[in-house]
Amino acid sequence: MGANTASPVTELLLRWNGGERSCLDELIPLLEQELRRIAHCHMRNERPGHTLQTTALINEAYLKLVDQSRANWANRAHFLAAASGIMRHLLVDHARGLCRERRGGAKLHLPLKEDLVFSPAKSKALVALNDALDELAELNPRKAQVVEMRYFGGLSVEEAAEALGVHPNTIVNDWRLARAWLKRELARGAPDEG
Amino acid sequence: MKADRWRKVEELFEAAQLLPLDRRGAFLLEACPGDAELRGEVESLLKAAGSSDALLDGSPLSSIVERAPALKAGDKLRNFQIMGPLGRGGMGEVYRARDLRLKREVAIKTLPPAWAGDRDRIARFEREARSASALNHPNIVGVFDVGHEGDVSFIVSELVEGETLARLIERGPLPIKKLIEAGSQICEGLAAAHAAGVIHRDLKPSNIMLTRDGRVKILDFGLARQERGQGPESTTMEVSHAGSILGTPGYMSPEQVRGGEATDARSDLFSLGVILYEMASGKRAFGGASSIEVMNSILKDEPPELPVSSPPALDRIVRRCIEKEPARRFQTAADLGFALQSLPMGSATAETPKTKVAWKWAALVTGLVIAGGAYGLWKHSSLSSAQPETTFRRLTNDPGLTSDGAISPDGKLFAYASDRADPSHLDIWVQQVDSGGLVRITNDPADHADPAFSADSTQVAFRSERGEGAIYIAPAIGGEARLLIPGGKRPRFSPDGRMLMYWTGQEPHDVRGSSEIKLWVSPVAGGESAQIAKGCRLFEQTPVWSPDGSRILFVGTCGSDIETLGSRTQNYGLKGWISTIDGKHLKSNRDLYGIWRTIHAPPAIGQWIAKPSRLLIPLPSGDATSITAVPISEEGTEMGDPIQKLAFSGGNVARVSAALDGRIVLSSGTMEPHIWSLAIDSKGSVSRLPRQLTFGPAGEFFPTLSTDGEKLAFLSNRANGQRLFYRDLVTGGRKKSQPRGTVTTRLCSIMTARS
Repeated sequence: MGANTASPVTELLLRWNGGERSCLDELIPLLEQELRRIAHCHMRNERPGHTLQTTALINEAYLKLVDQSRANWANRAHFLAAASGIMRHLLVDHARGLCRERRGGAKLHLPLKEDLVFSPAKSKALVALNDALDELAELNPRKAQVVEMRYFGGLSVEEAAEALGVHPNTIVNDWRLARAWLKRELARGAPDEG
Repeated sequence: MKADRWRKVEELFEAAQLLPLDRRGAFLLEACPGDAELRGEVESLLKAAGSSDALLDGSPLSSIVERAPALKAGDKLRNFQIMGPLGRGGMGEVYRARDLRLKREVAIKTLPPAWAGDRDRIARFEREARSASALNHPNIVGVFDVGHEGDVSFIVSELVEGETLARLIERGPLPIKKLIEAGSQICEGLAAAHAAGVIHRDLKPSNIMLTRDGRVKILDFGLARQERGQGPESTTMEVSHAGSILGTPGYMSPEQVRGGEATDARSDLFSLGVILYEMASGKRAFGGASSIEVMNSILKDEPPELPVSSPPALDRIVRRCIEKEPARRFQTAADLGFALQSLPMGSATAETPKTKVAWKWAALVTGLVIAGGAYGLWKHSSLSSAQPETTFRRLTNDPGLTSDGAISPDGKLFAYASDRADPSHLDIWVQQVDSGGLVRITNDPADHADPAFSADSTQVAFRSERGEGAIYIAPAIGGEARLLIPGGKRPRFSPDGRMLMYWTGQEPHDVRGSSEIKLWVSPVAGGESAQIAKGCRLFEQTPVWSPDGSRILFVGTCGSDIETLGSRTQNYGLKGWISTIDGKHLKSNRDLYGIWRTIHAPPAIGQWIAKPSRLLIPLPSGDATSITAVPISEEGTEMGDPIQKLAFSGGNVARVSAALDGRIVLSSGTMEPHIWSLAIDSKGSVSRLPRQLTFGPAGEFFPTLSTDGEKLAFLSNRANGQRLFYRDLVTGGRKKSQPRGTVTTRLCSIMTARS
């Protein structure tokens, strides 16, 4: 009853959790579709006084796609982790699209297919953040994953710990260092801003 | 090595950031002797950790969304001049403006810029706003115009002076009178919109205005998709139903929360139920720290009871609105409005007993009705046949099946079996007669039925079909149920509460009673059981305790009469019998069976009450039932005259029970078949959930589809006798057939009566 029973996400998630890693390939397009849809609705209806949180978007996707009575806490953490990565790519793709438009020929209204309306400056910053995150991943993949989950997915420390199979303290330390590193890199990349 | 170095940076960073700021420099100098680069790396990270970054410190979304451009007083949008801000609406800013052409003031709502680039959406929005503008009703804010000017899309509507319901509720719960008035007006507005195929989908207190003269105006109507049934258009639903997801999910229906499901008018009724709850209590029905928690709560929780200051009937109405399953809610806004207007205007304690409210039911419905004022009747034991002034109050309002009502001896509680929690089985519920407060006693997927109170009104015994079937006993306030009698059925406590009567054996299918049934009396505290009516064929719905607890009365055939049964007429030998509770002595009451002689139903006796001594018996006649009091001698051996009709019920009465104060509870049920459609594919399998097609107040029968599947003809019991109706399933229009002649009916496969 709880979730849309027509969705195969629960099944995939359970199989994934049971060790069938290939399920992720099937899971991601389904997640992406739902996240796009939800983001689409939210952006259209965004209003003052409410902070738009990716957490809310991802949790909403979870509520809709996953049969709550069958999935457990670990399934949820994995779902959220996968969704975080998708959310990151969704957002960055849009931001990149915007940047290209700006370079191409300054149109004020961007014929974006989706409704994520970014301000040009923020879009640039988001793309820079994404690039810095890729660099961080080369130094330390787990720290980059933690940022992806915590920042783009809005996962709590406990959820990220569950998804990565580490102690929550590790997440706290990773998160602290990764943020410091990213801030430093971003500040270096844009010395005239601040 | 790069990795080594990075690990070193990490270690030093972790260690240093634990130290106070002024000691970090010294620590790093000591930790990286001669490696200024390493030290510099760690120091720069420590510095960055203390800095801020607008993007990284926020949410990746929150800071990058553009807002609708604000308009200033004096700005012009086409022929509308902005006068000032009015507030913020669901999708953008709202302004007071002046229509320079028609010289009147209007409200203008602007839409987010995200809309501007999407021509399809703007077109759809305008189409929808136009359909809303066709709604002309005093309880709906009229939409005058839609348009765009440059970047800005906007909607022009009637300017309503007043305050929102949200504001009003902030000051506390509404008085019941005001609640009923406002609620009824909202229902009228909704009913008009639903009739036009427009569903609100974002009903909430901030979308409802109250003008100074007390009129309710519903805002933002029709900004959601127009109802179109299942077709290619329904793909647009997913984007338009999400109107309130982020800001105020608290009023969404479960089907909206889940998404992907079709929502219909009943979704608005759920939202209105949540609003009514808030009007009565001042509190949100579904709460939570985040929108996710709220949505979870909508899917799973039942809100706490309304405060005692509200009438119990209001609580029941609200609960029917916020049923998780649309089919269990009120089916139309008009029905809900009617229910609201039937509420007493005073406080809860002043609620006067009412005659049975003419509810409209979607399915087989059994309600429990309590008779008040019957106490006086027993005292005035004048044998006049005048109809006593017994008044009734409906106690339960659930669709589905409610039956086996039993009142506690102290008259404060009543227990019944109902499928209100889960239509797949019956549970035992105990409800407070006065406050309506409700406790669910059983909670497993088996059927539970036939509850009976202990003499002190603190325990409820009932039959459970769990396992092999047994009688269980549980505290009336809820708690662990305990197995009492394996295999037992129809528990009845003795008036002193020490003994329990029940029967075992197979349900009889014999009009002459069954010898398969064994009737027993067992001490509740444990000990020897005695079999009553050994060697008798008895009617299992008849055994009752005498008021003093010394005897048991039942209807059946005993002794030598049994041998002659087969060869004589059906009723031969059927009598009332009185047994001692050790089962050793049996006397007959020759006349008792005469009460049922002309009735085509097996005998059933509700209760034997005292002072004066009477049997409470439901006597069916046709589609109705009269509740009768049959005078009987205190020994049970002689009958008196005349039989008194205490009350009359339009439905079939399954059980009657009385409290010591003379109040009685009865369960009354009526069958109201409706027509449902069931999609069957070419392979013969059912592909979708059944959809209810008729919702009328009367039963509807014998549906027949036209060959193109677009028209439905059916018989309906409404008004004067059966008449033929037909309905256009495409447009939803319905008509009564003109000529009133003979109707030839043909049974069609799509008729289902939900039970």
